[in-house]
Amino acid sequence: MKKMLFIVLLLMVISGVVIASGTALGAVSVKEGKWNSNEMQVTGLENATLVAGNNYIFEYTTESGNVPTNLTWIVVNVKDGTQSVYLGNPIKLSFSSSGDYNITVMEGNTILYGPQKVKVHEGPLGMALALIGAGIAVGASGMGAAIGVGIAGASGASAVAEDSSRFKTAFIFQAFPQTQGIYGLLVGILILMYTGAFSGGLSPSADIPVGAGLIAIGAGLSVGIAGLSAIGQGIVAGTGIGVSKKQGALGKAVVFTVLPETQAIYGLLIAILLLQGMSALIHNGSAGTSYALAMGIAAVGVGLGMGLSGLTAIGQGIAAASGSAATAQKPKAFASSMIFAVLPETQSIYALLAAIIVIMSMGLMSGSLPPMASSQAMLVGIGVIGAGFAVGLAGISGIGQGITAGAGAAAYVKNPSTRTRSIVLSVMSETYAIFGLLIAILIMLALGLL
Amino acid sequence: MRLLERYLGETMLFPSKMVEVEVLLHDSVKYRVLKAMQRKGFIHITSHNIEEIGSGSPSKDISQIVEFEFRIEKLLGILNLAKQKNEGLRSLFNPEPPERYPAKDREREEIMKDAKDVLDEVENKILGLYTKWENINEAIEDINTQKNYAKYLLNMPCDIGYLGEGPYVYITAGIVRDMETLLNLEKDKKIALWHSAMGKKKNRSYLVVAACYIEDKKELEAALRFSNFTEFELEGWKGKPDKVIKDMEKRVEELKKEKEDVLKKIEEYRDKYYGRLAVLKDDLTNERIKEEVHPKFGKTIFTTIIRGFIPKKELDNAINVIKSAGDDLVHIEWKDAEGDDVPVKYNNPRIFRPFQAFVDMYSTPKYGHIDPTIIIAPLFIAFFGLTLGDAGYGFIIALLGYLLWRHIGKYNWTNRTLGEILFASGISAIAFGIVQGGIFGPLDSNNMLSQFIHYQPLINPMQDAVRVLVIALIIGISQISLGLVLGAYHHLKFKNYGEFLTSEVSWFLILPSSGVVIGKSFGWWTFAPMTVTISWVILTIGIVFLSGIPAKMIDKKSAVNAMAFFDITGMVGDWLSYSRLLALDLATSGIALTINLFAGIISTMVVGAGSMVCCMPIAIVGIALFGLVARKKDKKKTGIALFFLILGIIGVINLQAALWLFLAVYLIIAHIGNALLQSLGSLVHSLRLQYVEFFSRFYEGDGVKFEPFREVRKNSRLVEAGGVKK
Repeated sequence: MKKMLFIVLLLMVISGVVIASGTALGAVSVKEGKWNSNEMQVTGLENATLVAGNNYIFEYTTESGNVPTNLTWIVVNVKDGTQSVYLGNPIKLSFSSSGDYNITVMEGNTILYGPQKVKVHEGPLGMALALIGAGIAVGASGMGAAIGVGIAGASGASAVAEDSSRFKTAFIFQAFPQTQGIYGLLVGILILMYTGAFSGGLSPSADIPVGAGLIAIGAGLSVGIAGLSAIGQGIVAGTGIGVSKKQGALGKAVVFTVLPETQAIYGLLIAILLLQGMSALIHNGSAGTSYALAMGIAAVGVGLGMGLSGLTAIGQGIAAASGSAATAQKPKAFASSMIFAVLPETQSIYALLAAIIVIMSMGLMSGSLPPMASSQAMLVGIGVIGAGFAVGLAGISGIGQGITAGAGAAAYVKNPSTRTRSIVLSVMSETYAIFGLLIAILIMLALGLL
Repeated sequence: MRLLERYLGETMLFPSKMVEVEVLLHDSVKYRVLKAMQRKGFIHITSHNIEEIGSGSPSKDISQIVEFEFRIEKLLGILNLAKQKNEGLRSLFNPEPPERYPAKDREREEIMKDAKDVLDEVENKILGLYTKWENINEAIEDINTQKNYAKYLLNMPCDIGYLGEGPYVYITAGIVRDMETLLNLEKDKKIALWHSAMGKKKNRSYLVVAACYIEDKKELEAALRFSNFTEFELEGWKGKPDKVIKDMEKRVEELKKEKEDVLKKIEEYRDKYYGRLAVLKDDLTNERIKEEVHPKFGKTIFTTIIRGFIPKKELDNAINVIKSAGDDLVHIEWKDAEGDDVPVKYNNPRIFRPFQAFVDMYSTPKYGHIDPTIIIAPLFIAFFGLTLGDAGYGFIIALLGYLLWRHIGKYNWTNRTLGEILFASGISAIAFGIVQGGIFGPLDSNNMLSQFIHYQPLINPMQDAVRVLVIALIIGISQISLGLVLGAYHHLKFKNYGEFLTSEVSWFLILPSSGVVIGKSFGWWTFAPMTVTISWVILTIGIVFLSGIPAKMIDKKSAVNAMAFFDITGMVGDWLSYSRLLALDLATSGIALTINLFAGIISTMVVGAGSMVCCMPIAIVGIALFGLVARKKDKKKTGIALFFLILGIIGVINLQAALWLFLAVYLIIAHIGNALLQSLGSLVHSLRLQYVEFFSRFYEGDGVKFEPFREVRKNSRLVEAGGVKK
């Protein structure tokens, strides 16, 4: 895994040529690129832009231009004080995490050079990944919002054609599925803000750890895919426009319309919690690249789980639309219709539960992982993606549940005694969501997260 | 339980105590007793429940009453044509009180006689005026249509008086969609044709004037029908089109004057008769109500039985009123009310009353059950404040609420209630906004207000999301527990012990013990091993209770809870659902932050772009001028164009000033938009937490609302405050 990352990082490197200028005591030149290649760019250490995970060749040259071979290099990580010793000249070097380092070159007990303080950056990949996250957040949620607004708008247009004074009502209802798009925009902007994309851009000095970039993708997936809940909300809003024609039905129709927004709110909640972790990670620097990476990969799993389960809102939309119509027909059916309409929300709550467990046990909010071997951390991160899929995809069972619940709400109007039996029938679809949650919990147990 | 009952029973947590009353009376005093009951409005009448006797029916007077009521209502509608209406913003904010005329206490005979007299006196006259008024309107409308036709003919060298059928020639004018048939006729020298094209490609139509000899009229008419002809009907007008148009305008002026005259006459009638008619309308409505309630009564040959419910507090007074109205010919029996059809009269102090609407919207509570108004009112306000969490937005909402409450909705119950709720919620949002450091967005460097106001907020949700999440979840578990306590009270009060064990005792065991178990496994808290072991035991017992088996043991009728597992997931779901408080809070401040951020980006972009931007104001002026020229009529579009024109001109003079103006307008519009959108969300989500998460623990609706049998006085008010004459 680590090697793969190195290859990816290598491909991303853009280099410039600066000729080393000697100091009074000789100088260290830095060559950057593939260790065995001849196409090396040479920079003086004082001016070099070093990126964590990249490969460098450090070479000490004396004032007179000689290259002594028998040297000791001491590299000290300023943050945690760990010290690495290398022998020879030139030496091959790669920094595992970003931050400040002190480099000293010695021959025997004499210091030839240094200690020179150098700054190791995170490289541009993290920022690039974060930008993908922002794109997913705005794009996917925008897609959902647009479809939902479209459905509501179509209903609104026909209502207005019937009676032009109903424009106001149509306008209010059409605003509901728009919020998902706004949540996506919000997360997109927050990603850009936390990563400093407004000021920095894609330079190696942006200092966004790759893990943080992956967390941003997780946040984007969470709010973005959950934003598809706007489709469900659009369905209820459309019905709401229709039924609010009836005296006194408006308020209840609005309550029903807001129900399938819950999924989007959970998506936003998880996205914001993840972004807290991202900002902490950026602040701390990648404390050990593989830890940060593991957190990032886990965040993608969390985002997938929360986002996909948000699709249950389509089911809730169907049930709530049916409930809204049932209530308009028979105002006393309001309480029962509410029960039917909130049934398909459970799936997204399972995903929320799983997401919160992962976030807390992976230290995703504080940006620091609990003690764990680095290779193990990576596996845990990848495992979380499995849990995310389990709880997210199984959560889509909410659509089936919504269809049954909607029919149940309609049946209640005809015959109130069917209520309990309809609830039992509706809950059947939830079995699969429970299977998903069960597997997710077993995965988390296996990963040691519970 | 009894003690608790005595303690809580009379508080505002419960609807008013009711007494079930049966009044047996002789028919000779029925009218007087009914009138007294209606005047005082203390009783909610329901159907009698004596199977052996039949039900009453309205007297033969009712058809006459309904007829008079209908006729008078129509006259009132006509007279209101002459009502002076204030329009515009000022009248929106200062609505006039509804007109109410002094009414006296009258017997039915007097009312009917008065109604007959006044109808005989004025009905025909007023209806005549109305017909006149309608005719004038119709005439004006017709002339306006004709004027449009005449305008088409402005370029025609033709006298409009010639149109139509003469002794030898037939001339007609109008619009056709297709010219081909007519052109063919012209080629055959059958008709003389003058035409011009109008409109663009798809909507092309032709203005035609066609003339023919009278013997070819049929052929021309057929051709015109074929060409989709709309005829200009201009009969009765003479002269060239421009003269005709002037004549028409003159005629319309005359008609409008006539209309004014008619309206003035109507106004005279209004001044003279409106009060009398309005009072009659109310009197007749009240007579009708007295008749229409009869099918609920029990009836023997000479007696009537009225069954109803009276609030216990008003019982003594009610008995006195009924007895004095009915002499010795009434007999009253009463007992404490119980059962499903007992009406519910809310018993809340004035400040909580607007929130009754929320409870009512869900379902009226059952009699004897808890009325949660005073519980949800403060919670709703707090949730709204927390989820909106911005002092600036709170101010907007409070202001809106105040206007609705004190001005716009002064005489409108719905608006007033909404206004009161919004006002309280807005104030709460101001408070939470100050605590969280949000005034039109968080007070950070992006917020322009941060130059003037800066302080360390108590809690910053953007940076301290976890703390707010914990607070939200603590609020959640507290409200859910309160719901469980209320549910337990209901189950104990109605001796439903099985349900009590399954739905409440189980949770009282599970909630704390699972807290210990989960807290321990996540390492939040440390406990002695003994505590953890005991917690596991209690948790297991709780789950056994939840399964419904213990309930089955004490109460054979109660069912085993097959859905116990779903109950657990449901409880977790309800609890986590409160996390929306945090998410909505963050959404508001996040979007506000984004708005401020964009303002910052716009200003830096403009400043950075330098000389390039200097062209912008000139371009804006150009576009605005074009807009003004192209869209002369539409007021809104003209307004927008004017705004850009002013903006552009200021920009030409001073770029910085224009930028500030633009930013100010942008910020105002964007923040007001966000405030309205987010408070809509806050309102409904705060309500949802009450309905779905809280009410589901204890609330049983389906109650009957207390609707007293009382006088309706929409247009009048009673001046004689005395009782009923004997």
